[in-house]
Amino acid sequence: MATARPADWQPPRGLLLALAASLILAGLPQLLRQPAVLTLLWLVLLGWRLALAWQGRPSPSTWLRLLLTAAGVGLILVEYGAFFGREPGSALLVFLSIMKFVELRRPRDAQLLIFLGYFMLGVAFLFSQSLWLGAWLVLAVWALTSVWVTLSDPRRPLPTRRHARLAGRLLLGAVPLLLLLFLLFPRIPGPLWSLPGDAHSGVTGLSDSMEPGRISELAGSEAVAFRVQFDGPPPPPAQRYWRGPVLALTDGRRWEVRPVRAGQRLTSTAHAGRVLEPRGEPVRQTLTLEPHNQVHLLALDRPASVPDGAWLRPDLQLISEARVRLRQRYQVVSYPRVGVAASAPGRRDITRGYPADLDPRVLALARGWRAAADSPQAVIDQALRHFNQENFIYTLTPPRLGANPVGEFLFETRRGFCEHYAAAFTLLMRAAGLPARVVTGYLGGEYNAAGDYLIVRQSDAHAWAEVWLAEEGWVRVDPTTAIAPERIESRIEVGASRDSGAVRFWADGTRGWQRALQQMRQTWDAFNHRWNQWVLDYGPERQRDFLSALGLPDVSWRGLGLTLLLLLIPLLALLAWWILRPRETARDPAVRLYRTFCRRLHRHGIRPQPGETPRQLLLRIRQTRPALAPAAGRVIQRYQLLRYRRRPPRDALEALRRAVRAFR
Amino acid sequence: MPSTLPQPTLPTTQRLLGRQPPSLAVGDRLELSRRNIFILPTATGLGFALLLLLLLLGAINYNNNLVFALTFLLAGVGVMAMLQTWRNLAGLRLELATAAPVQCGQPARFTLSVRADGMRTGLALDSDGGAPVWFDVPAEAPARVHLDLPTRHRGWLRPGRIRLFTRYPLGLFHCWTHVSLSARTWVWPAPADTGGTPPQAGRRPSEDGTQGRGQDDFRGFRTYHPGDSLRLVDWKAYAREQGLQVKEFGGDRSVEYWLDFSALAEPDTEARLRRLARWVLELERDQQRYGLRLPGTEVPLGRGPDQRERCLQALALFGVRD
Repeated sequence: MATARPADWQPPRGLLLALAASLILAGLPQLLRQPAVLTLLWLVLLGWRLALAWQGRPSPSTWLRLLLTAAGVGLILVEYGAFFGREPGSALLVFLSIMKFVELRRPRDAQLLIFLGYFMLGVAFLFSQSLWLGAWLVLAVWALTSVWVTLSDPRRPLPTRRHARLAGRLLLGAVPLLLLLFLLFPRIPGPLWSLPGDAHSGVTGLSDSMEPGRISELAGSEAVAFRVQFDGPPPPPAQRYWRGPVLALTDGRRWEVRPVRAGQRLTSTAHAGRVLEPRGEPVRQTLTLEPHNQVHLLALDRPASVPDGAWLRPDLQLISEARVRLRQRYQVVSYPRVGVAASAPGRRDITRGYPADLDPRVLALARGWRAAADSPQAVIDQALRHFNQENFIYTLTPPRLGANPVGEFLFETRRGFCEHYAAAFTLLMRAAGLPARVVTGYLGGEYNAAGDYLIVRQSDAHAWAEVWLAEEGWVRVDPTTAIAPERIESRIEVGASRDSGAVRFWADGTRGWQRALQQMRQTWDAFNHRWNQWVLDYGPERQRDFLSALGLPDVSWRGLGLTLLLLLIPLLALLAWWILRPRETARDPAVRLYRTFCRRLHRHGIRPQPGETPRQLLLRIRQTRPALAPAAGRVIQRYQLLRYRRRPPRDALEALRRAVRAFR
Repeated sequence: MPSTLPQPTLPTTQRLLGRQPPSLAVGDRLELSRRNIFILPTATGLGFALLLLLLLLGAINYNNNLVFALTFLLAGVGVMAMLQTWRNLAGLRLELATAAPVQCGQPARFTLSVRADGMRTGLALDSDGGAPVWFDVPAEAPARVHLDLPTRHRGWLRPGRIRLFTRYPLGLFHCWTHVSLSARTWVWPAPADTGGTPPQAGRRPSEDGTQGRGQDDFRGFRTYHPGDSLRLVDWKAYAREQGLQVKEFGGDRSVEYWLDFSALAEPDTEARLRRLARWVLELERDQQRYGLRLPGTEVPLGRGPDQRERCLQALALFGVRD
């Protein structure tokens, strides 16, 4: 039933188009992220409303809109299975904004759409804060603000260049305030209320347990795990083992971190000395760890210092007191070589244990090596030789293993990724009577010359073993190197290995374009790293550092508010002066240029007198500052030409402009 | 008894500040400055503040620096918009031209010329309850803004206090100023619907001997000129093939009319005044000589626009205090 709605407002088509475009721009991240079906349907809705407007027809009736809204919300519920949480919330926001656009029957609706657009931008940053998204923010805010200015211009209902320019000016003027507030607005650690369950989903990283196939999953991800800066030169590739969770508990298939009593925590660097005896040169590093929603922190093998807010397990694993949900920076001192400090694992220590149902073939193989060897080191060598000489294959897509994975791997499939070799090797050592454990972490890293740091990606995830030797303590043994020695020097090439399963390694740029590409990637990553450091990671600690650099150490909340206020007032005064300053009223461009010239003369100490003609001024310049006379003469001659010649030459104004510009 | 329009009470802001709005007389110039410009957020502005608050809470809760940046950027835009809105009014120079007298019921038009040192957009002018007039001020020339005021009574019309306001560029802030216009114009009574014939005071030959033109006395024929009324064409002469001849009449001037208030029958003063107004307009249209007698005033006999204006003014201001 069509009832006349006298209050209906038909927005001009141009405005409608601009509104639709800026809405799409604001919702772009969500439109690209959500299932394509939804995006397609939403765009159809938008197009439908535009088509209605083009035919001069009003927005659809309330009933139809309610029906469509219910259908859309239902669709989102089906796609996401929930309303609450980050993903469905963002999808709903975009959908409801589009339904508001379909409604659009009052100027106030358009105003509300602009606000919804800004809100969409904010929500988009909960998913990603990349540099690209930062650039997109600027563009989208500008577009939305331009449409907003159009909405507020009672006499020009269509978007114009003037509106876009004014919006740009508003944004530029907002930058100083943005900087001030960004730097000084009091930052509080931690959320105000609990975040939805999926707030931290989608982050990748090593977990605190290992099963066959877990790490090879990571190998497909180019995502950055962390970046490291060193005080000195970066360690050689063979030493770039990044220590993560140390796994000692196993049921033969799954490996887990052994629990640690509170009393065993090493909470300071001094405590760390109890379990290790540093040897050789320390390596000082600053890590920027991407959030992985776990408690472990990574560090160069082996960490010997304890950063703030963390502690060290006796097996030399760094643990953060809270889950790492934000990018975190910390400094660690590591020693690539350490001596024995702690006592040997006890006779019934879990690093000696193996499951009772361990494949008898494994047990027999290990015991055979033990019997033939004259030292523990010989057992290790024998195991590595075994991997090297038997027909073992290093692959990203190993066959699935059944109930008895180690036995099947060692004697049947013989195809595996690093976690298979590390797990099998560790169990072999334990079966041979040597205490051993699995260490997971990362191996390698790409040196970024543009930013002088090392990038370690998820694809560098690795697992190796540590064996207890009486004279040396825990010794790192990497069985993978027995099968694929090039793994140490090179990174795994992600794209190629996915399809074939064969592991291929990055060869450092052999061809020119490869090198150029690599360099571009590195420069981009260096930008990203700075963006992370200076924009995204500006939190309570950095704010404190910044303030103490300003000479304001230990500023309280209240002090910060006061400082902010004290700086805000002059800033606002400055802005007000800029906006409200009297404008140059001369319309004639020649007069304006001549005034610019006079101001420049003033800088040279010559003050043009009121009533002084240009010719008199020139005479005075010749007498007092002859050096300036030629350039000033050119300006004055051209100005007079423009003023007094009945028909000045066409390019006279341009000539005057050049002469004034040349006069410094 | 009709009198001047009652002066409206001062707006709240000015009562609070104990300040009269600046007044602008015809021929004067008024420059708006911070002393007389007010600014407050609009409902949209409050909605925007709510949006900022939501974004800020989200930024704090998720510890998300780009949401912080977005919030602060938008806050900056809000501050800029406030300053821009304010600047839109600041420094405007107003000049007032008075309105011509007008008949009651028709709008009286006051013209305000508004000048600025640059282009100003989205300005509006209104007076109590009237619809706003939207205008821009170009950079080069003053804008001429017409303020059409309704007239409801005869007598003096004073535009009184007008409001100049703007919400440009974002509609977040409402910035306004009140100016009291110290100009006035008079409004004559709306002519009565039916007139009857005005009373003739007497007939006498005109002093200069000419008779002028009119419709009463036939004077003779003259040749037709394009534009002459076809009713005056002597069709009989045309039929006699004497060409188009037009009958000429004259002699109206010799009639004089005295319009006397006290001679009218209506009991109501206003009704009498409206009838007199109608006669003035009719007689002037017919180019008659007429005079007006009101209790206490008399407009001597006369003719022409000045006479009309004198009479209408006397009618407009009859019994009206200044």
